[in-house]
Amino acid sequence: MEAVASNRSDAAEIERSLQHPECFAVIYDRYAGEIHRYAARRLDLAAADDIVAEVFLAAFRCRARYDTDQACARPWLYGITTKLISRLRRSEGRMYRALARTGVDPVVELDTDRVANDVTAAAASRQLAAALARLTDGDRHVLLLFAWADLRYDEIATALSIPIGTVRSRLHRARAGVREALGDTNPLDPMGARDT
Amino acid sequence: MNDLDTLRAMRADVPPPRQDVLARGRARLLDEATRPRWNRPRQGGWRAVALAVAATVVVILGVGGTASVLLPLPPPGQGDRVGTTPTPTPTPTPTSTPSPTRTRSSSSGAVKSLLARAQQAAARATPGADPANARYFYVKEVLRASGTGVDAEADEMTAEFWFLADTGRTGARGRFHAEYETGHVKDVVRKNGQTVVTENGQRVDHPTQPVKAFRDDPDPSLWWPTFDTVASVPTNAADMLNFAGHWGSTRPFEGGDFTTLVGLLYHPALRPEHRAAVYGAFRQAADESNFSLAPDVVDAAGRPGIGIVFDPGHQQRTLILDKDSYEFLGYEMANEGRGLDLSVASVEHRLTDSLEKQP
Repeated sequence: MEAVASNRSDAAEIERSLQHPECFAVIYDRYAGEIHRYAARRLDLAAADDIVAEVFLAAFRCRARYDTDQACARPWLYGITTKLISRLRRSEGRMYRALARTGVDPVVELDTDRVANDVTAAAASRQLAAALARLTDGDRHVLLLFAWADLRYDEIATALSIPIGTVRSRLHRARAGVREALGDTNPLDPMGARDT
Repeated sequence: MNDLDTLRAMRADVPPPRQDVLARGRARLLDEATRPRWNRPRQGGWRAVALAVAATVVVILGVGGTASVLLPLPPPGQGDRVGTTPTPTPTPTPTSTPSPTRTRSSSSGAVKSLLARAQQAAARATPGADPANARYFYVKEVLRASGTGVDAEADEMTAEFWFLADTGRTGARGRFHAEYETGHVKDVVRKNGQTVVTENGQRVDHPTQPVKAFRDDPDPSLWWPTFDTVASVPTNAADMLNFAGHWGSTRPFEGGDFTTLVGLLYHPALRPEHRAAVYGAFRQAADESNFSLAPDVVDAAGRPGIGIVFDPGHQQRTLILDKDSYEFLGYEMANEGRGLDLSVASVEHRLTDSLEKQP
């Protein structure tokens, strides 16, 4: 794969791609890896393989509507990714329920050198998976864009086209659900301290 | 470590994408980016053509319903008939359960034989009347949907469209008329530059989202190719496959390619030689892709037919043909896990001089 280096902002590259469509490959090179990683965490590797291509094709097709005041395209791309994941939300829900039930995560292999930690981590994953399965789609999108994609509140608002206040309230609600699922204690905390 | 830290640790060790996966995605992007503009899917993909138009309008105008009543067809003989699919059989009731459970034959020979017969039948068909300005293409479809494709409440509807047969424009559309399974009726009429929406005969304020489908001017974001475009599609199978986006050497035949070809079959202006080329393209794709036969399928309008199933792995697509005449009946998309996504039956299309059934 031949990556194209560029110092221009995402917005500049997207604008340039309107006249020179092949320039959009720069955006792909910058973000395909992290979009794949995010999709794999939310679904599985096979689904991520498909989604990463679909995200950039969808972005390419609607690039004329990109708001070039937004220098960074990450929120936009995560918004598209979220929409595509939404179409598979039943698969995602099924995956979380299976993980909660069995504790076996098809995406992440256990590291045998860290068995003790992994057993604890697996227990946390089961609780988290159960919590994620119970969240509404909207709450889950906000929570995972915040925790896994490291988007800021304003970036999540942009990605999902919702007010920033809604981001805050959804995140608050989702975190409360997660904390409740963890029993208000953190299984990864060696002291088992309550985390409030 | 708080709840967010715990969540951040979940699946943090997900493996990085394989380089061949990233390279393939990049190649697909560049394939589309460097493709001639005429052969590039429009925004959102006009490839899905009629069914996408219908689904879009359902989304924009959607209302709910729960009862299950299929509407009768209008009496025959209205307008110049340019194409009418076989009369629907009232039973059996179309199913919304997933197609994967139905009996299927995986014989490539049987699939190609059926497509060859469809190709021959299409080539022998009599061309319809040429469209002219100031006339309308009347299109009638029955849609069944579930999941996220269309308003979850509106899982069955009959939709009628009147497209202005202005050969150079895309979006000139006079009227949309929908009857939902609850008996709810919705009409959108574009007249004198105004869009008027009525529900059950009562004029209503329009939703906040503009109905682009009813613009007077060409709208490049619409999912319907111009009649000029349809008149210029290839007449041989290999070029038709290329037109659908399957450029052979660069990537395998995909669901989007399948939908593009089916979308042309819905188009009321598609001429017999082009229709035959579409079936020829399917035959060529069947050489290399996972096609199978479903001998007993029912389209969204309740008509029994035979299905040609393309299953790329995540979303199964089925082209439904009449068992005897091999005429195109409809199309459906289904997912192994969640069942039917969308099924659209092409019930009727013909030329007409006026917008009928004015509200």
